[in-house]
Amino acid sequence: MNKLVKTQDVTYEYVRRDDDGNVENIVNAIEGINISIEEGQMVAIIGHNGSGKSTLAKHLNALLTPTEGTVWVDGIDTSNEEKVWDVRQKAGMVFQNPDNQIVGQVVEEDVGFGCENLGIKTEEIWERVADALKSVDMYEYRNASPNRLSGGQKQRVSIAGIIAMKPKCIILDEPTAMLDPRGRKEVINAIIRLNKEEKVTIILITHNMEEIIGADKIFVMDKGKLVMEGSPREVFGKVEELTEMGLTVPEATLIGKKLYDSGLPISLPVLTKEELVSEIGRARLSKFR
Amino acid sequence: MLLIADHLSYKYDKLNKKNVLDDVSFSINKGEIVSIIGHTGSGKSTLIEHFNALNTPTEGTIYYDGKDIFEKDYDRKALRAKIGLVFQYPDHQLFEETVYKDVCFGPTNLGLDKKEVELRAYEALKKVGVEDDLFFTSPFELSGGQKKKVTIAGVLAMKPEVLVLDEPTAGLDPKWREEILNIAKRLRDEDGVTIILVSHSMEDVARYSDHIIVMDHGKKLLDGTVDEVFEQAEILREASLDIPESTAIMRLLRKEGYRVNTAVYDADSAVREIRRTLRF
Repeated sequence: MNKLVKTQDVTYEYVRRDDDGNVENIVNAIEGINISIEEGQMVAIIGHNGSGKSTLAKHLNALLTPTEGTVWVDGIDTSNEEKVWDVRQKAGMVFQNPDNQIVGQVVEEDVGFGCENLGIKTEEIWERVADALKSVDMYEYRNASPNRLSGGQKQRVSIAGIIAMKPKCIILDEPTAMLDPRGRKEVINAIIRLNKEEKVTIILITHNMEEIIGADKIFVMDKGKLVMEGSPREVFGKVEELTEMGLTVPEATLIGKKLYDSGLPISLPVLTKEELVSEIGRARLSKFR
Repeated sequence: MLLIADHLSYKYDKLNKKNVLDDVSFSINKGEIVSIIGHTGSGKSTLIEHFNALNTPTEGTIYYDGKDIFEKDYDRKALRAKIGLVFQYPDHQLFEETVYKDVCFGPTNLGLDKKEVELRAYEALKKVGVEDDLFFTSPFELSGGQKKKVTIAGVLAMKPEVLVLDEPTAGLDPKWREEILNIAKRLRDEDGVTIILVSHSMEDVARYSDHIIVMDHGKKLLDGTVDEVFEQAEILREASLDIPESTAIMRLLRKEGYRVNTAVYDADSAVREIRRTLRF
C-alpha cells in the first residue's frame, strides 16, 4: 500500500520568550517522531492534554513545519514553502470548535469556500459542494443558515468543506469534544463512512476511546514522544500503561480487565459491549461448569 | 429550597420562531450538585443565564432564597456575587496580565479593600490547587486545565453560594476532567457551595450529581435522581442524549438474561454488580 503520510525523526522546538523578547527556555513539543500512515487507513492519535498530539497533527498539513526531521504528505516535503497549498489540499484539517470554522451565511456557500480559494470553476464547485454535503448526510440543509444548526450538524458542514476540496486525507483534532451525545455519533458515523465508502484516509485525535475501537491503528503520544503504536486490540490491551499516562480505555475493555483480575477467565482485551457480554457468558460456562 | 424556577419562559429566537425556554419549573436545594443536560440548543445556556439575572424571562420568574430576583427592587448586583458563573471558554473570561490579578478582579469589583481582595484571591487559588509559582504568569500561557482552574478561582474569590459550571470539562483529558470535577465536589462537601453543572458527559453527570434536570427544545423533559433519569434510556436518546457506557453494558447483560441491577454508572460498580450476580 501507498504511504500517504510519513514522518522521519520529527522534532518541533517551541521557544518561550519573556516580555523583553529574550529566550526563556526551549521546549521540544514533539521529539523524534517516526510514523507512517497508509492510504485509506483510519488512524487515531491519543495522548493527554499537552502530550504533543495536536502539534503532531498540525505537522501533517503544514500548519507547522518541523524544526528537525521531515514530513512527507503524498510524497511532498511539507517544509517546501512553495508546496504548502498542495499539502493542505491533500490533507485538510477539522478543529474542535465548529463555531470558529464556519464562515458562510448559507451552508452551501460555507462548504464551497475552500474550493473557491483553490480557483476551481464555479460549475464544478456546485457539483463538489452537493456531493460533499451528501457524503456527510447534510444535503437537505444546503440552504440553511449555519447558525441554525446543531453542533453535530455544524461539524459535519466543516467536514464537507474539506471533502469538497477532494483531499486524500482528513485530520480531525477532537471534532466531537464540544458535542452532545447525538452530535458525537453523527460526526463519528460520517467520518467512518467517508473512510469506508469514499476511501478517505482519516487521522482522528480524540479523548473518547469508544470512537476509535474500529481504527486500523492507534498512535499514543506522551510527553512529546510516540510511546506506543498498534491496532486497537494491541493498544487497549495495555490498560495499566495507558492509565499511568492519564488515558482511559473503552469502558467494556476496562470492565473486562477488572473482571479478569478478579478471577473471571475471559480473553483480553475486550473492545465492545457485545464482546464483553459474550465473553462473560463463555467464561461463566467454563468457570462454573 | 435555594433556587426555584417558576414557569420560566424566554421567547427570543425569532429566527427559529420558537421559545428558547418554555414553561420551565424546578427547584434546587442548598448544597446539592445538580446537573443540567440537554442537546445543543435545548436552552441550557439561556437557562443558566437567568440564574443570576443576566437574562430576563418573558414569563415566569426565579426565586433565590425565597425572593423573586426579577422584582424591581431586588439587588441583582449582590445576586451576581452569590451566584457565580464559570463559562465554557476560559479565554473569554480571563484577561489580566497575571493569574493573580485575574483572580483579584471579581472581589475588587465588589468594592472590598485591597487586603481582603488579596486574601480572597490567595485562598481561592489555593482552594482550586493552583501552585504558587503560577501566580504571576500570564493566564494565557497556561494549559486548558490550568486556565479552567483559574477561571473557577476568579469566581470563588467572590465567595459565591452557588457555582454554575458550563461544560467545565469539554476538551480536557480524563485526568483533568476528574481534577476539575473533584474541585466542584470539594467545594460542596467542605464549604456547602451549591453546584450547578452543565455537561454533555453522561459519565460525569452520573458520577457527581445528586439530581439531574434534562432539557429538550426549551422544555424540561425529566427531573429526578441519577437512577430515575438514567432509567429512561429511550427518552434520553430521543432527546439526543444517552446513558453512560457502563449502564449500557449492564442493560445489555440484562437483555441476555443476567439479573443485574442496571443502575450502575462506572466500571468499578459494574464489576461489583457482575461479580455479585455471577457469585465469584
